[in-house]
Amino acid sequence: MTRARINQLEVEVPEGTSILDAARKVQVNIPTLCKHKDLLPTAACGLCIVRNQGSNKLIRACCTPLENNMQITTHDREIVEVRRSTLELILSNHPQACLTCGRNGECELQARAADFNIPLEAIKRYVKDVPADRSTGSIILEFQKCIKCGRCIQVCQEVQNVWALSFLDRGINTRMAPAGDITLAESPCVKCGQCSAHCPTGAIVENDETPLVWEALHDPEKICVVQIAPSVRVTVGEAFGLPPGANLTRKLYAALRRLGFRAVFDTNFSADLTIVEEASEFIQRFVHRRGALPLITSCCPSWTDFMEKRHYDFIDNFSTAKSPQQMLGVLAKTYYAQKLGLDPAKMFVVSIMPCTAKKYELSRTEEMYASSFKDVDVALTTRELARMLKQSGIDFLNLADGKADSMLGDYSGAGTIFGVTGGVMEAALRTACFYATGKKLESLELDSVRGLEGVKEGTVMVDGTAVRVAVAHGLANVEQVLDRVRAARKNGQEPPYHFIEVMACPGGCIGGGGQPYGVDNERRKLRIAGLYQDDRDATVRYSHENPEVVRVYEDFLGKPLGPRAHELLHTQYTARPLYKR
Amino acid sequence: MKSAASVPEAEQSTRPVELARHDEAALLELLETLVQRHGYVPREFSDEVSRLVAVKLERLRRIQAKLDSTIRRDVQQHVARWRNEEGNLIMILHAIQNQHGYVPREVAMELSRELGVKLARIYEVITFYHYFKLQPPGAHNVTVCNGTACYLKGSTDLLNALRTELGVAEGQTTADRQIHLDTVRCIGCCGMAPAVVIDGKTLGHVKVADVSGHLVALKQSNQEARP
Amino acid sequence: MNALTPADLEAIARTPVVDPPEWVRVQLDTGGIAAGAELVYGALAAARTERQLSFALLRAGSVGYSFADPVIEVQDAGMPRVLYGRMNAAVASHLIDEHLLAHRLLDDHIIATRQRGTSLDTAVTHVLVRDTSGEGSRTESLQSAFNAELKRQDLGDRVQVVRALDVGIYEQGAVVQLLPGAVTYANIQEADIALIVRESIAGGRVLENLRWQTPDRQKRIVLRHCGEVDPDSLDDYLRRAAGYQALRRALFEFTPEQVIAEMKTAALRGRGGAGFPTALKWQLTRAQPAPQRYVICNGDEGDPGAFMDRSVLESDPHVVLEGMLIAAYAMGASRGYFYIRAEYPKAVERIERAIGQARERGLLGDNILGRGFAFDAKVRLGAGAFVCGEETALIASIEGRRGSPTPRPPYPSVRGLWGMPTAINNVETLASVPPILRHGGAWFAGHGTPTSRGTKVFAVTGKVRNAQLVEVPMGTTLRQIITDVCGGVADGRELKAVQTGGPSGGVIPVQHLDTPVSYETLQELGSIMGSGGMLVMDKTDSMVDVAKFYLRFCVDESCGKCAPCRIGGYQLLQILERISRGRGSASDVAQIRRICLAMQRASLCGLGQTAPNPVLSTLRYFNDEYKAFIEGGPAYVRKISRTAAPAAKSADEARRVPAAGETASGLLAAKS
Repeated sequence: MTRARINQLEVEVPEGTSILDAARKVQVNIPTLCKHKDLLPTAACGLCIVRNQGSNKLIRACCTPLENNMQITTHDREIVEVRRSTLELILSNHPQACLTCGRNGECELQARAADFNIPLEAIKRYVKDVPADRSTGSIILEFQKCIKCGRCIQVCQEVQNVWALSFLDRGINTRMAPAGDITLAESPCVKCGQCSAHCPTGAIVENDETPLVWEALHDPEKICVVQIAPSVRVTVGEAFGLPPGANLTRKLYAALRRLGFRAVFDTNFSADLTIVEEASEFIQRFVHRRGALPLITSCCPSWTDFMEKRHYDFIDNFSTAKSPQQMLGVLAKTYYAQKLGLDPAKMFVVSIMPCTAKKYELSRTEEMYASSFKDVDVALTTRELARMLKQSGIDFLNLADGKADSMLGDYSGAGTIFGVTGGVMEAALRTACFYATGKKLESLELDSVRGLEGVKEGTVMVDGTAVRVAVAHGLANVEQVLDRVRAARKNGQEPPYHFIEVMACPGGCIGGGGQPYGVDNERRKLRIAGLYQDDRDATVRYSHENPEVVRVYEDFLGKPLGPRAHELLHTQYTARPLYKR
Repeated sequence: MKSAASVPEAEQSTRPVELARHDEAALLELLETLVQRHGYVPREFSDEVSRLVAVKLERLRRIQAKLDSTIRRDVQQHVARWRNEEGNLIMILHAIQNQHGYVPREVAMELSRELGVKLARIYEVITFYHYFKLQPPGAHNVTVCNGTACYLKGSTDLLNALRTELGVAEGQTTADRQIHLDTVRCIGCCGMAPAVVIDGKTLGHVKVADVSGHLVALKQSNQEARP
Repeated sequence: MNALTPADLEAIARTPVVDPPEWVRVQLDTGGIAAGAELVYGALAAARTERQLSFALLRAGSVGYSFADPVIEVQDAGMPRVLYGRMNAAVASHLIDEHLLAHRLLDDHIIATRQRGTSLDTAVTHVLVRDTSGEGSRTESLQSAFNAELKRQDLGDRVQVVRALDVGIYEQGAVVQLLPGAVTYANIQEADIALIVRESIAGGRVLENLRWQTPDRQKRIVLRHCGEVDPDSLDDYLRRAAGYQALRRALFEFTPEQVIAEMKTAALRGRGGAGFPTALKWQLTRAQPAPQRYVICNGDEGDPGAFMDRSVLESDPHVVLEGMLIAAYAMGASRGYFYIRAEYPKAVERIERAIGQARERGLLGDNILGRGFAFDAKVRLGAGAFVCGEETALIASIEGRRGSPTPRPPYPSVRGLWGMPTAINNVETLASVPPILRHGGAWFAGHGTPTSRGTKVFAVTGKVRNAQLVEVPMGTTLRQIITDVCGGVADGRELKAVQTGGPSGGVIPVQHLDTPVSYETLQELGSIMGSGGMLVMDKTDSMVDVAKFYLRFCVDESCGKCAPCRIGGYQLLQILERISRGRGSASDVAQIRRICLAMQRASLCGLGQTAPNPVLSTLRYFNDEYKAFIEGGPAYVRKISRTAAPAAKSADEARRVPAAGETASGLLAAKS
């Protein structure tokens, strides 16, 4: 332990704790724009300077570990003056277009500027005219708003191992951009949006598609339906000041209906459907030895994109089952439309997703048009939904509970935990075990695949046979899992795992790139707890027992992996170049 | 004005393609020029060529493959020299820059594959260090020393004269890619300030009035070299 | 070739150097080559073949007289050994006829030795003459006067009177140096000539009242073999420079701890600029338990106008390598890197050759001199980034990353290259190590001041008469360096200020020129020692312009990582640009100070922290000039651009050319 004083206050913290974190222990907030709790300090912004008694230099609190007997001053006249000047400098290199910015009201730079009450153009503004990059349709890079804190680059390179973003040039020309004057769409970007979730300003934002949705909602010809992803229910409250993890499923149903959607579906339903298909695939491969093992989950579009670009030697291992978003979309425009006698051409399917990559998934391959139409028309992130709710004047938190529409609205506890890392694995094993043995798992909740550990491994006994599973989240963690499989493959050995779940974002979808801002592990844990609680509260906890899932097979799809299921619910993969140019 | 400007450019891009329709060697040469200029064959260009010369698509691929394999061989050689050395990336980039005069994109991509270093990292490095260029150099280099001694003795005036004379700023190459104008920190010839280096030859105590003469000499040497 | 043994080294140490009786040594460093030294070498070689002469043609680095490049040294039997400057091929060819065949010294090219003799025991054969006032217009008449007097006293055949290019004495009227004794008289009057000829030349008596008493200000420790030893030859270094004797002594007579103790006695401080005690750096690195330690020689000399390190690397590469070996032995490092600017191809070539030779002779390898000490060194190139002179950025660069500094702690001595303890020493620091080990720490500490021991090499450039490399003991005053050693300001102009420390330093106005040079005194004046760039400015130089020059350098070279430096420097430059266009306002100075404070206090590394120094120090000493621009407005700018101040004028002109403005300034010329 290290003992020192910060602003005269005694503080004791574990060795290696930064001054910044130690100060929080004694209720002292040192401002910073570059340090993010998820990430290593980059020491870029220069706001967190503090003074150690006896030293002439100011030191950075973010990256200096507290040492025994230090006497730190975090605020004195000079420090505050320097901080103010530094902030003025940062603002002088920023468009200061707050009112029309995607981060308006939620921007860390704006908040600091407000704290210091910085006047407009305290220092003459210089902003280089660089057009925004809108190439991906998922994420927009507003280069002008970038303060070069380096968070996005660290996330993209270190946490996600994607290496789409990089620092280019130097000095005043330093910029965050894809390598070598290409657009983001031409880069290895997988659209996970973690960069946008970590950006302190509006430099990286989701592509706001709410206008498309408003237009459809206002179009009397259109039949608008909507689905909400598993994780959205426990995160959307944060945009309205609720703590993370608060489950707002029923309020969301009500609110979406008020927005004007003719039907409100739940992606949890199609998550159950995905499980039924995927578990069937697993049984086919594991029990009947038809197809490659390990089976790898494919419901995360960023992961799919990443695999197609960097790990396409695993194409055969990928589950061909579509993601819940796409399954629901296609069923809405076929099954639901037929049952209600609606014209699918007039249907407009909106999905509310935790994720920026889901926007990309909508047109990923031709199979995303299995209904003969675009199966899902628009995918909105949680943040966009919150914006719509606020615009619409709906007093969201005080709404009476609503209900989802039947046919595509009921869900099991297994479906809801799709939103957390390990959840798909857990849900799939619940059903697969039943398929294999006709019996249920002894212990329903698989602790070995729960939690925020980057790679989780476990063995589940299914009727005396060990099923070895691995769960990875955060794309940088994927490599080690795949490399183990590759090594076994090369040596002609039994694969180390039978089933692998991968989610691109740390924590799974609850930590998705489209979720409300300010994510860190504390928040992730609360959000996760919210979903596990939803599972525990569910009356049905097995996907195959979801009555509406049972009915859709009886009435429409036939058997899992059957011809119709195959036509509508499955997709395929192809190797893609890392760089399009 | 606008249409007038766009016509010659269109001509420029179609003429070689027409040429290429009849003559494989010319096509090869054209592609090599493009590789020289851009470091790779721009996608839109190869698309264009393949569209116009549909029958020769296969041949185009072969030529491209040949270029690719040349690049690959070169890169492999550089990497082989440095593979087991610590801290090799910048040294390899130096070797590439020495070979091409800049770091062509195709070569950077090949290096990324060969060395197992992400392309983003390679570009981070290339763009950080002023020594590495992403554009091919001009046929001649005119470099003004901008060390303190030269500065005090009027290097700015020399630079301005050269800018006006050549119509480009430092770090740029004239439109005909003949002369590249640049500045250098200090060449250590402070005793000869102000100094200008033309194609590796250092000229000392240069005066603004001399600038034109030097450029004329450079252009003449050019014409002689091109019979 | 066989590995050298300690016995070999001892034998070499006992064997005196025997040079052929006649030789010509050409100083082939970058500056010399740029000035045509290779052409001179070629002309000499051709003439030698053509005339079937037998003199040896030797190569060396530079002795440091940049103002006289190319420089050669000539030894002819029965003649005094002399340096000739401002050579070219034609003169070289002529020199062979005159000096080597006719045995006559050449007029107007000789650089007289700075060693001032005290006795005339050997008969005078040559008289160097030079009128040291102004541009020396009376030198020729001085020569005639001497010739006439010699003839009168019938000594015309015995003694040759030669016009010197430089005698190392300035503004002291007529100066003569009597060769070979090198007794030097200054301020001699016409009446003295007869006396000198009679007493000194004919009589061999020294005229004490005329003798130039001021000792040579220079003390060459680091540069002692530069210009003398062949940088391409290990053997030459071994024989001529007692090469690797210090290493032998370290390995056989000292434990690593004792080497560090000796360095502590020497009190050597880092010559890269910051002045951190070298012994402490080694000790900290040694104290860190690790499977591998590194020593890096920082040869990324980036200050504009500084060329000390390049000159040492090019002129005496083995001394740096030897210093590195001793450092490695002291701290237990097994691997070293020379990080050298790619813009220094000659230095790279020579240090690589030196490494190759050392490896061949077992001075690098697994068992150096049979003492079980293993060490190998390699060269890594910089790539045009000044910030890589900063330790953590340098490490990042070697590791193949962007050269952005990282926060310290951890210091490189704890976690450096590839996470291993690493000591980074400047070229000059390492070059100081072998002499310390040879002559002892106390000997070294005997030079300099109590806080700054030893000598320091400076590259004096700008409006100085003789731009050159200078090595002086710490504590020498700026005035002594500029006027006594370098001849003061050129063209008879008035000295205004000196800039030390390059872009991290500040200007020191003429009223502080009597300050003795040390790390502390320069800092008190608002500048720093820096790596040794020293820029002399005269009254025509605009201080606002000089501040802008250095600031623009820092803006160009900022790594861009941290906001205070990246944006602060840029905004500061914009304000200075505004002021120098006559568009400044009264509030600008306050804003400059605020931005400077933010940069100094909140920048991550030394580059940003010190970048405001040139601005602040010019504000401190030359506030009037800023005021004149601000208060005088555009009218003032027009006025000064019509008169004098060429530098200020150029700034104005820059805006009239088409490609100028922001893009042309290079700031925004992002690579595409």
